[in-house]
Amino acid sequence: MKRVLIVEDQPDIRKLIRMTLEFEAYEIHEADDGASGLRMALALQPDLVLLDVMMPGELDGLQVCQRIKSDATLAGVRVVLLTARGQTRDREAGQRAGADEYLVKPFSPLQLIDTIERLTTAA
Amino acid sequence: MEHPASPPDPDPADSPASPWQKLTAASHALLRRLAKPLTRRRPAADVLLQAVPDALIGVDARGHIRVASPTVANLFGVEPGELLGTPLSNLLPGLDAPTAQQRTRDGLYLRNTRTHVARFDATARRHGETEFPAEVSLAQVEDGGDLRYACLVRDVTDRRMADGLLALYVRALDCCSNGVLIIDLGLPGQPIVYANHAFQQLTGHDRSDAVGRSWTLLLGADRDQPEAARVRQAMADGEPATAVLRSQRPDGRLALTEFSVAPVPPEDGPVPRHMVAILNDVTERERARLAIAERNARLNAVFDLSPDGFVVFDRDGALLYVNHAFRQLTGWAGDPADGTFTLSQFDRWMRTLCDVELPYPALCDDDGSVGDAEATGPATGVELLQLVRPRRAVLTRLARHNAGGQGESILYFRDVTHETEVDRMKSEFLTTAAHELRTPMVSVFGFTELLLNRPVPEGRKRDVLETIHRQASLLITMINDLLDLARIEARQGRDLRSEPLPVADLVQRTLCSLLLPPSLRVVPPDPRSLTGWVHADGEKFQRAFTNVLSNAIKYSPQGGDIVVTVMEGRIDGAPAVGVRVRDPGIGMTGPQQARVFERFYRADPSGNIPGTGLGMCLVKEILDLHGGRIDLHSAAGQGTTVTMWWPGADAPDAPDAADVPPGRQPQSRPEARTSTEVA
Repeated sequence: MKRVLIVEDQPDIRKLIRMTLEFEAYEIHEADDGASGLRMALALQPDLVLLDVMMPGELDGLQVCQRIKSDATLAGVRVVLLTARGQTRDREAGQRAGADEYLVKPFSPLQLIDTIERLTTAA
Repeated sequence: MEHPASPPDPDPADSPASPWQKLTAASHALLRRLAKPLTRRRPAADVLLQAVPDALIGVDARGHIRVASPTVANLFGVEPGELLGTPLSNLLPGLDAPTAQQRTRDGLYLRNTRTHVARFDATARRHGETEFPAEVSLAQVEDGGDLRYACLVRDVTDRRMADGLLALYVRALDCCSNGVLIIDLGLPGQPIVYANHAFQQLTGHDRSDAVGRSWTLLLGADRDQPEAARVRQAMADGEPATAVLRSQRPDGRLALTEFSVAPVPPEDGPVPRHMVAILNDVTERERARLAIAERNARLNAVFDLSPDGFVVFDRDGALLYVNHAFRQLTGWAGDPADGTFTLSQFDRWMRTLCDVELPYPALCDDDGSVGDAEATGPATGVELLQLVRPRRAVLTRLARHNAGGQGESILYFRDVTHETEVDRMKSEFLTTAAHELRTPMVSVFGFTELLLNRPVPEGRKRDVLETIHRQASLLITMINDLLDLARIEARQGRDLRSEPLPVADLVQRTLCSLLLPPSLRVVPPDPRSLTGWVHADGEKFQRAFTNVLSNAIKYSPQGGDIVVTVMEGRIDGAPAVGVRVRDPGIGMTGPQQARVFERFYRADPSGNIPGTGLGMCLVKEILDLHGGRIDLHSAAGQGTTVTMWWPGADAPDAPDAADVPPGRQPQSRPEARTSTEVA
């Protein structure tokens, strides 16, 4: 069973993602800010992290992504950035942070399923 | 053949001692002596003849030369001996015997010597080919034996040339377009002794009238003008001077005449006797100069009033002009009049003002020459300068090299700090607004896609639909708030309908329409505090009050009492009414309070408390429009107190005024209050 970590400050969006993935065979964990998201990632060693970019607190999504990608113990963890900022500049920032995929809000739940499936089976 | 310019022959009878008569008598006597004992007196005659520069020739009745003085060699280049027996007409073409006879008959008859004498100009021939002007005296000798005529020939080439030159000078002066006068300082009254044609044209004074009069006839009645005094002084000193005189023509018209005098160097002695004056009509020139000066003054005023900076350099790169706005923009304190500030110095100085991150684009190359772009193109593109000194500012610069005209470089600077800042804020606002609108859209779009694509049990369907509805409502509120904000900003208060309104009415109406969760209670203000009137737009008052109340409700999830109080106070010394809302909610930290009026700022970003982040912006905008104020006190976990201060208004005088509909209340402004009415 693949393990998916959702890091997102909006409860309604966490609920949407949970509901999107409920028929798939994923073990789902949730965090509502960057710091707890990173902590949980280190503890859970998930296969994939769905990461909101703009979050309150000390760590935003890009920083969490960088930490995950640069941490040797988390090698192979896939990161999908979820963001409302869809400009080229924002996508480039995501690439630099090492994200595997970049989904712009509002995203399609069906497309999210495809993306997660593709990234987790390739791994 | 007589030269028209020759002076008339003096009558030898009346002036027996005239040189002419002496010469004639001498030649006559000489001829007679030559005819008789020629050989005996020969040496003496030779001496005498050689002393005379003229050629003396004796001619017989047939017009052939019988005798010639040695000087013929000088004049005609032929030895006297070679001439004997040749016709006189070889030397003086056309002067054959009949012509000689005719000429002398037409001439004077000298009774004492019984001689006919004629004097005329002729063309003589040297070497039989070169012609030269000659003055000929021809005498017919009655008793000269075979000598009939005595002929005296004088070469007048030099004199003719001098006469010609003099005539040329006079003609040249007459066709010169400047007026020319010659003034004789030695005669009483220092009269004009010569005036050229242009003088007459320029001044309207007849030149023949002017001669003999003083040059001051030009001045008309205005004889004591200061410029004329300068001319008088210069003439007294024998020094050159130039003055612009207000002159008057004989017909009364006034003109400006440039009058330059210079002493004519005397042939002998140190004191000049003549002055030459050159006149020029400068009326048009002076008028144009004044017009240009006026135009310059106007342009300078325009440039100095301009809020944009202007700097002008001449073709050699020396600073010519700096306007007031440029000094203001950059703090430049130099003086362009000293003429030493160059374009490359200007570049260096500007560079010190600019941000090193955005280097100053130089105008001239390192060697100080103006860059090619400026030299060839009419204008460079707009360049952006990021100033850090004397204050942070963004300027645009436009450089134009005036290739025609004087070749100046004109620099134009415009302060776009404000526009740049507004632009930045606007695009930041749009980015943020778009971002904020996308977030509720995630739920609306995502949940509907799930509902459409998979079976959802009834129980959960309701929860999903509620989420969609909640997020869609949030979108609507956000769009409404954005539009309200945009409208308020765009209208700048022009649609504000301010009037005196009773605060009791406004507060109660707002509180009545409030929807409260069961855990919360609103404590209304003491009715005794509700006697005041505010000067406000009723609709906007309620909008602001509602926003403050709904924040109090949203941020008090644990329930409790929301306390509303109304009090009197002052804004900048003017009476005001305060409406205060105190909630028992989560409160805000210092940094949160500092950002509360920022657009889209949410004290609770978790989304647990729905909101647009625009409500408090709107409250502040509304109060700013009214000239009111907002106070905020809060601490984390301690609740928040917001006080809106509205400008106060007089209660209408009529005792039943409270019953009159608010729209009909008489207008009254806070400053119209008298001091006795202030509580």
